[in-house]
Amino acid sequence: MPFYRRSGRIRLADTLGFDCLGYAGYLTEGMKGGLLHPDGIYAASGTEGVEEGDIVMLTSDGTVTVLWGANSSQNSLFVTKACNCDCLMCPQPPAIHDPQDLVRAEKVLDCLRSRSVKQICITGGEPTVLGARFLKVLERCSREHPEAAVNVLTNGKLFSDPEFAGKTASASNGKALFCVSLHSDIDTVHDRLVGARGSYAAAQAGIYNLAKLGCAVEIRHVISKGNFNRLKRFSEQMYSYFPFCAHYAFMGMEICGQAFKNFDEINVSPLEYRDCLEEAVMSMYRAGLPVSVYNVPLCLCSEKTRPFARQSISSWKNIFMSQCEECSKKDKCAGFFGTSAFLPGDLVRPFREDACDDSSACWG
Amino acid sequence: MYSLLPFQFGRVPARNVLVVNECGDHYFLAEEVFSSFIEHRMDESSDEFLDLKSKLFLYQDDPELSLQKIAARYRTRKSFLREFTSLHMLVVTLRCNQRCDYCQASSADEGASQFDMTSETAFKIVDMVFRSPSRHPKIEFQGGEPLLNWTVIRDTVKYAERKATETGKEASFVVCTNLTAVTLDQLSFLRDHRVSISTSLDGPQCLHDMCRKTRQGGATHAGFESKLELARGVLGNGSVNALMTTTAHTLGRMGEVTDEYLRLGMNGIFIRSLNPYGFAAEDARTLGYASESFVDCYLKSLEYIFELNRNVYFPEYFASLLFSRILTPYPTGFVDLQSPSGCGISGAIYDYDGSVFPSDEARMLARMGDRHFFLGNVLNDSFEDIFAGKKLRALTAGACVETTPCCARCVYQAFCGTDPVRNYLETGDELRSMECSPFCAKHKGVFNGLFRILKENDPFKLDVIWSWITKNRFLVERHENC
Repeated sequence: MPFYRRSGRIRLADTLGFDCLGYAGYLTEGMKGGLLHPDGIYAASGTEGVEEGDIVMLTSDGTVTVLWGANSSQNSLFVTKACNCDCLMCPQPPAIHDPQDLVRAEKVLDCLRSRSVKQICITGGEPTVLGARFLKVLERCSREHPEAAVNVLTNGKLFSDPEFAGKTASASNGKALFCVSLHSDIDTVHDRLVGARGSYAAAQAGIYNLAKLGCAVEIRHVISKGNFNRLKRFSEQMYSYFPFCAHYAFMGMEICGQAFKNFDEINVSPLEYRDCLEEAVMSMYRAGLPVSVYNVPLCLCSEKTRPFARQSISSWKNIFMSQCEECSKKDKCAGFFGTSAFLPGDLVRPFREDACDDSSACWG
Repeated sequence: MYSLLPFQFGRVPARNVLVVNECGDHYFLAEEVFSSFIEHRMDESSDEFLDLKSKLFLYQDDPELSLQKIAARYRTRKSFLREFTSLHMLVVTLRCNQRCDYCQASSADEGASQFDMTSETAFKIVDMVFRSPSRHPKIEFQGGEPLLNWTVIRDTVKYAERKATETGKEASFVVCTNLTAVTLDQLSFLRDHRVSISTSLDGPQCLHDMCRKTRQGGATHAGFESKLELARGVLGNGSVNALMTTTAHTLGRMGEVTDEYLRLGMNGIFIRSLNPYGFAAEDARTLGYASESFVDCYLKSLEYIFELNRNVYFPEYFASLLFSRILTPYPTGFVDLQSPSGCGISGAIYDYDGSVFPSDEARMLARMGDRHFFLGNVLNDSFEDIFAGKKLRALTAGACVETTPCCARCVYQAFCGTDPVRNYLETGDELRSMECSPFCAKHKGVFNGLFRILKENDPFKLDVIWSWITKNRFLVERHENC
């Protein structure tokens, strides 16, 4: 690394020597070398979590946070903790906006400049509550990384303002995919789940506005106790009124944050919603809509649903049960959220190569 | 508290109320639930209430979003109007080498070359075709037997290809032929210029030959079958489709007709009722039948075809089209059954002499001496005169089910259409009360049958229906031989 380019980099080294001078920081398993190495983490116990090209944050308490994994396809820019909803099943409870979140995201973008990036996900909180600052991040992503697939995770509400939707469409330059959460075909059910009246109407108006502007929209539906019995009707509503979306995703819950707090009110066993999910998925499939199931392990899906179940959980929080070791489908399975406070371990039935799929994962 | 959104309703099947709204969404309610619904005393926590809300039959609080969604659906449903005018039928000659029983009035002797379209007229028509706003004009060569005027077909296709390149439009071509006179050279040309073939097949030999005869009254099926094989050899299987015409002879024998379609490797079948024009009164008595008989036979055939689909993917195209209207949010262009009527705005027909008519029936009417629907002639009149003139405007404005007596309140309004030419033929008026009309009896009967099938909610049939709509044969699990 030429010396003039070192000031924006963090050096990962076994021991510190003169070739380590001039970096913004160090991450080493060795000891502090002297006056010339002011900022850094020393005597780290193992550095295998960090790879060449990762973007990391070092804090004085000794924490190393990987903000961007060079070899990961699940990177995101976390722009704010603030949200204009208060979802019962939110794994990430909303909080007051901390300007540092945005600063950090922008710094990551600085570091990514002129790098080839395959995918960027803008998330929060609710990214759109930042208004013009959100637009700036989105604009940078699409301009600086024209080759990247840019996803925006949003509740879609603020796009009900045609002017904001218009600005967003031009900032995205037609490239971004807007992943809008929609949790019911009934306004009152959706609004109760997201903890804010008027959300359903605003989100749907927002989807129409985005679509009118030629933006690609994905629908994300989190399955919970409050909505699973109308899954099929939800599918039908999507086909009737939003058949133009690029993708429809049904998602299992991650039981942490608010979801843990509201466990009794919203938790539902995948076995309980298995048939409803099958009806919903098959209704979309029949109509030719691109549909997927996220976060539901294969053994908890019905046979017909299985082909639509994706490996969707970020690798760093993805875990499996002990029974899963014997399962012949483990490498194709979403598994479980390691972050969940509750896992339906007793329901897991490994598939066996030698047995018929139906019998090994049969729930009758 | 809730308020109702606009909808139509009817009793299908008995003791059940079918409701259909402006979006074309439907729902079945038991009689007593329907009463509680319209009397505003429905249990607001019931599944049915939520279903009606989800499908926009009612709203609570603010109607704004509901109205926006209805508007979006309505706009999509009527978006076929943007493809103004997409189907252009050229009668390149009245001559025919056949004289079929149901088509006597419209064909001329093989030697009567005064009934041929000239290249000059054909090119003028092509110029007009490319004036239409439609991005995907379809040019269909008809007759008589169009192949008898081959040079004009050949030159017109080449000329239209040049115009398509110039205007950046995507033109497609179809030739409607009985195939019996087709040559290898002609087939090669059709293949090279991607002209597809639409032919006629009424069923197995005995049924086909009963109506489809040479000018001397001889049989045509054997000749047809050998030419069909020849055509497939040159163009490939997918490029040859057939249409059938149901007569009194075939009415009770649709199973045999369907089997013949399968035997000859057709991709599906369109069970089409007889057009009640163009043949003599005595033939009407032997060939014709009541709409009710057609409906009965049609629905029985449909059951037969559902069963066939256990083994092979084989759509019935009329049901496929109507189910598509009922179950999908997308528009389905079908000139014969839309509102406003497709006459002139979706399809137009050009007679051999350049006269323009809004439909083939209107042209036949002119042949019989009544030029009521004559829109102009491509040799003398401009595109604006013909397609934006008072006559077509008035015709279109008056041909909407939404404003037609009886249709305006019919539960099937969202899926049906109207035919002002047929109305005029039967009553002397383009607009009439459709009550007891054969047109209504046929369509209402078919819709009743289709909704009974939907009410059955048989997963196999639903899979078959969706496989037809989406042309996805894999939706149905079957042990296919082919």
